[in-house]
Amino acid sequence: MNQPLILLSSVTKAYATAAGDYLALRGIDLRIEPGEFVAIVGKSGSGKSTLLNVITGIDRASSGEVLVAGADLMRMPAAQMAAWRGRTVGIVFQFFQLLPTLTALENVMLPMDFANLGSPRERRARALALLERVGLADQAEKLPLALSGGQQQRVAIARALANNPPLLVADEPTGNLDSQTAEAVFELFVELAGLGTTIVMVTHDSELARRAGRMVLVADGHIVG
Amino acid sequence: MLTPRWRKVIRDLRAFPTRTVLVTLSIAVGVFAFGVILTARAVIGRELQRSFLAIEPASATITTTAFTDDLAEAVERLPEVAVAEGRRVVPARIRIGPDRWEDALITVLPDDGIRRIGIVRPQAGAWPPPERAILVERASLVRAGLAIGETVVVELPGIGERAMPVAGTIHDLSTPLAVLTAQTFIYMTEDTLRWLGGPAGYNQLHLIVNGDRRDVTQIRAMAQAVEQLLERSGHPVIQTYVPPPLQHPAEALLPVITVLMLIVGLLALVASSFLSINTISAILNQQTRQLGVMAAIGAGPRALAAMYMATAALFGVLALMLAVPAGLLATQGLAGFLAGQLNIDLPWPVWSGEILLLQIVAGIAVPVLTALWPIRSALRRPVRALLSGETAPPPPPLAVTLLTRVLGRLLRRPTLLALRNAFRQRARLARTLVALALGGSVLITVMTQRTSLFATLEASLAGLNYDLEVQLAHSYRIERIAPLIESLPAVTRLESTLRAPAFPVRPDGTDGEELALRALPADTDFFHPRLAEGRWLAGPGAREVVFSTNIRSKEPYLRVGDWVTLSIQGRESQWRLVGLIEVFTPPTMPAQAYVDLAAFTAEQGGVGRTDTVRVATIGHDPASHAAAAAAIEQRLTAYGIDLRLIRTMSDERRILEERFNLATGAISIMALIIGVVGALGLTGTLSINVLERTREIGILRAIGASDDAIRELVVTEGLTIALLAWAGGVLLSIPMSYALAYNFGMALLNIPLIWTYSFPAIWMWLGVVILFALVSSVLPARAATRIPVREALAYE
Repeated sequence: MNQPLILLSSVTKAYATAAGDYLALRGIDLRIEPGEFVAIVGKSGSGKSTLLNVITGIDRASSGEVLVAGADLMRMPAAQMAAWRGRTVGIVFQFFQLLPTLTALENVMLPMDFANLGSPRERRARALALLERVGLADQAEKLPLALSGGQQQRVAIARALANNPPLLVADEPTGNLDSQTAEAVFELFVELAGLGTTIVMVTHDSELARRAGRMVLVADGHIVG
Repeated sequence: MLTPRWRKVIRDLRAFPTRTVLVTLSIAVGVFAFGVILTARAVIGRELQRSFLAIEPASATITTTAFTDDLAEAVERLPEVAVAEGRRVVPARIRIGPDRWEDALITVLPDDGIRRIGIVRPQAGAWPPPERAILVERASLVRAGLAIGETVVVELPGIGERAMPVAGTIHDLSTPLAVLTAQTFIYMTEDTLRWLGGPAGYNQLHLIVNGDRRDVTQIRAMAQAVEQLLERSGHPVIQTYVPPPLQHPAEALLPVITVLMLIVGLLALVASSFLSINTISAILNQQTRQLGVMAAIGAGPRALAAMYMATAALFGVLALMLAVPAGLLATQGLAGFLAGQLNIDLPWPVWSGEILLLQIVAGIAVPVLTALWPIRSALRRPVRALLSGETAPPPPPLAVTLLTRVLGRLLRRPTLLALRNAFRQRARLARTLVALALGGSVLITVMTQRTSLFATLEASLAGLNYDLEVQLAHSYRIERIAPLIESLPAVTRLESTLRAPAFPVRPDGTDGEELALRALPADTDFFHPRLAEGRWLAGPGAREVVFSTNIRSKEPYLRVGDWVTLSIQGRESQWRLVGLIEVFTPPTMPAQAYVDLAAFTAEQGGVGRTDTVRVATIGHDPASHAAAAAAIEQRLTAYGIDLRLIRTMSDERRILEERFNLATGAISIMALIIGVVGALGLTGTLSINVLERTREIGILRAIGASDDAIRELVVTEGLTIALLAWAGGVLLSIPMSYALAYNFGMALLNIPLIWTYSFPAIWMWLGVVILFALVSSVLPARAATRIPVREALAYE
């Protein structure tokens, strides 16, 4: 049996609130194989975004085991987490989250810059190639504000792919897009999954979720299906 | 090629030009003030010492009876002596204009003008000293308001007077500072002095020690050897003066002034660093989500910290680009002003490589170091919290909640909102308040300093119940002088005194610094000084002495209750020191000594005689004083009495007021600098607050708030901060002004000033702070009303 890319065992996550501890994840077990396209669905507050945060190392689980791409995130020192994430995980956010004072090209180059991958010339060439791949090479020098929502999300996907990570994580990537643009973005994910990138996508859109390779349903901090 | 992260750093600065300009200006003002003050201090200190060493200052000066070059040459042959030079110094007075007489000191220069000790240099006009004309020390010329070519009357008291042209000016750094003395220093050849009726030969020996010129022990040994030689050759020693070696008299005063300026410069730097923290915090607050995104895509805490520290460093670099050239310009002005007061020349341009380096380090280090704290606290937050953009401020303090609840019934809703807004970012508010309150407290402190100076002056003058002091060229019988003055209609009464130069004899047998000794009736009606320690003279005949407090710095071994040996006119006698009195005089001036007239005449002779008459007049204003002085002069001259000088209380007051204006003027400039930092801080804080509430302002406008209402919101917030800063400034000014009044008084006048809090300053500060708030609110209020609702609602 192959090593899973993501392996979560008995994962819990509690947040301290004024009303006492709130359990966002309650004993999650999840196994995702390399190259899988997994859609995580659930209602607001079900814990799906927390699950994504635990997988990406953005948040640390309260208990359990979290193994991602061979790394034990529960034991990884906080100081190493950002570097690990930069090389291992590409993240796509619902509101694109491009840096407003950098051009599309510079936004895509930024993860390579932080990971110190290649020479500046090589980074530029790779960023242009990625923008080409998402169909935005002609918009490379534009600032995010000059791009439409769909274009910004495609730049964000190109940025997520910048360091060629084995795992692409997307939190409601189509939630802020019209249906046509959302479809184009989803097709891009399908294409990437076809090329071997593991994709974990949180979505509200059950139609899109059904079209992913696997659907994981989260409710009240549990995986229910 | 710059990598994207560094491009982001630069573009972020350009994206918010107002914020960048404000923080740059506030750092620049701090660095500017710090640099100007430090440079002026370093250059003045260095040049004062260099200039003083260049004149070959005397290691010791011995006053004796008339002698010639032969004696000076014999003294120079002593192994302890490197150089010995004879000098003739004669007290005189000089008439400037129709009826204004001033105290003067004539120094005879060699015919070629060249001295080997206390070298003087030609400045303007004639050189070497021409016959039957005078040269005037350049600082004296300015102080007395004279001009080259002008004719003045020079009088040798008791001998005669002649009209003489001012032929030129010279630079003599060995004279006391013009600003501290009311004396005019004039120079002439020996022939000219003889023509004026003055004595021949020298009366002072100026000496340079052969050996270590900084070693007081060697200098004293040399002085003793010279004294023995003089005594052997029939020249009694009248006085031996050993000044602090190779130290210009002003070097003792300089630290007081520069420490004060340095404190103000540091305060400006601290205030500007607070504003730098505010701005960096605001940037981090605004970019919380961006920080989260960068952390999510692989930026580690060090990489992120480096980016924001670079932002802070860039603010510093921009600030330096303003502060360094502006500072260099201002340094020329400040150093030039101080050099003028100290009577030294400065090389141009005035600058210091070390201070420039320090300025550059401070300009960059201060914003970078102050940015560390907000950067650290931002990066300690979990990435999840950063990504969610959580910047919710803590709730307003309970006091504010209760206050707004109470005021809710009285104030309009937007006003209440503005009050709450002011307290939303409490750390930022605190830093803004400190910066602004510092400016206010320094302003009130400066004004309090002024009122304290004048209160102390008034208290000091209140003990002087006379209006004029008439100094005669030599002593006369009281029965001859008193009726002449008392019969004048302007005069109400008078008191006769005697004066004499005296020297305290130190425990090692050497003479201390010259004292201005005055013998007056112990039960005088005219002189009731404020006592700093001990008591006033007990009564007629008591062999007691009272010194002014500046004796403490000159003869520190003296204690009230001690028996003191005084050398008066070459005779030593014992007096018990019974008290110290507060006299308004700088420490560089001679200490004053008061003894009972009867005890003095019993010791020194002169019973029934006077050389100084203190006079009370009917009028006490400057015009009455001038008229009385003219009448007395006319009367005494008509009766063949030789006058030395008439001093009026109005003149004394005018001279002291000039000194106060000088002292408070320099600090006022510093207060202005801190004030500017505070105003910039207020503008910066309001701009940041408005920027951070862009979305909120959009919501307010969407629900119907007019431009006026938005403007009112910002201005009221500014006024709230300003009023808090006003209160803070007032509170802070109380200990600050008290400490300044005490230390300034002790250091410069030997007495703590009478701390007199300036209440008008409180209201002036209120006016200034309200003006600051209104001016500071203009830009942010305009920005707030110009944000389109749609953009504001979409703002993150």
